[in-house]
Amino acid sequence: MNAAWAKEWVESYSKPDTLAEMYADDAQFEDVILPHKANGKEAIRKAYASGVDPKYGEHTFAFVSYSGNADGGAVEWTWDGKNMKKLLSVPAQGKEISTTGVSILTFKNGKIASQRDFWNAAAALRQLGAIK
Amino acid sequence: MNSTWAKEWVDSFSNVDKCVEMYSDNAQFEDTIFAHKADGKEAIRKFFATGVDPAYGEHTFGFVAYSGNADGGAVEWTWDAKHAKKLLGVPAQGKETNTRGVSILTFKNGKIATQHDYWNAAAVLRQLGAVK
Repeated sequence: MNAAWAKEWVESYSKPDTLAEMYADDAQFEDVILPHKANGKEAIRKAYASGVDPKYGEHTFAFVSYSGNADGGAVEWTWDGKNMKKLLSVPAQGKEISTTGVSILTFKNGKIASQRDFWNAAAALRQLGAIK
Repeated sequence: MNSTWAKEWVDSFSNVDKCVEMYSDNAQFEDTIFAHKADGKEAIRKFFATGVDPAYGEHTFGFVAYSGNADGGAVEWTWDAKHAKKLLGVPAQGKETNTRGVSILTFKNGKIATQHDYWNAAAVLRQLGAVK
């Protein structure tokens, strides 16, 4: 894909129904850091739905860049999160994190076929006071 | 680039002179987790040289996948380390860690122009006992 597509995709994180339509039915998702895997469009929709559920805090993502083409590439983004209970089993209540990450995507017939996310857990854990 | 190129690049992490020739003179490198930036081929050489310096332990990288094209993309890799120093401010001397990471690359005239690295700091910090 391209930067325009990637920006639209990141902006859809807050609209799980719209977002899910950008995935192939049998798409495979992995957040390497959490770690969390979701297989198939419905499981992926649920994973993103937790991102807009107030009980999991408030999350804002912003597009940074796209490197790649229509077969695959990397979308870089920023993530600001607050009011989470825990993150990576570290208490996070009342705290805010601000970090960067990347989604490695492959595509089939114009839809996301696979996604692997990495993000800067060291920065987030430092902001939560878990490491220096 | 492609998988063949990416495998050769990852294999060259242990051969700093060969590795550095794959970068453009004014290449910009960033390891987002270490918050380390290196501008230019010579600064990048110094960073990779620490990977083969016994004072920093032993480090082995393995190629996993390339997603992208000749303009840019994501190289995924594994990193097995035996540490001789602290890591991310956490005592790591004598400890081993195994994790996964990704390098987001852009290219110009067949050389690496920019590189942003992410790796699973949560897994490494867990292996070092710094987080649960």
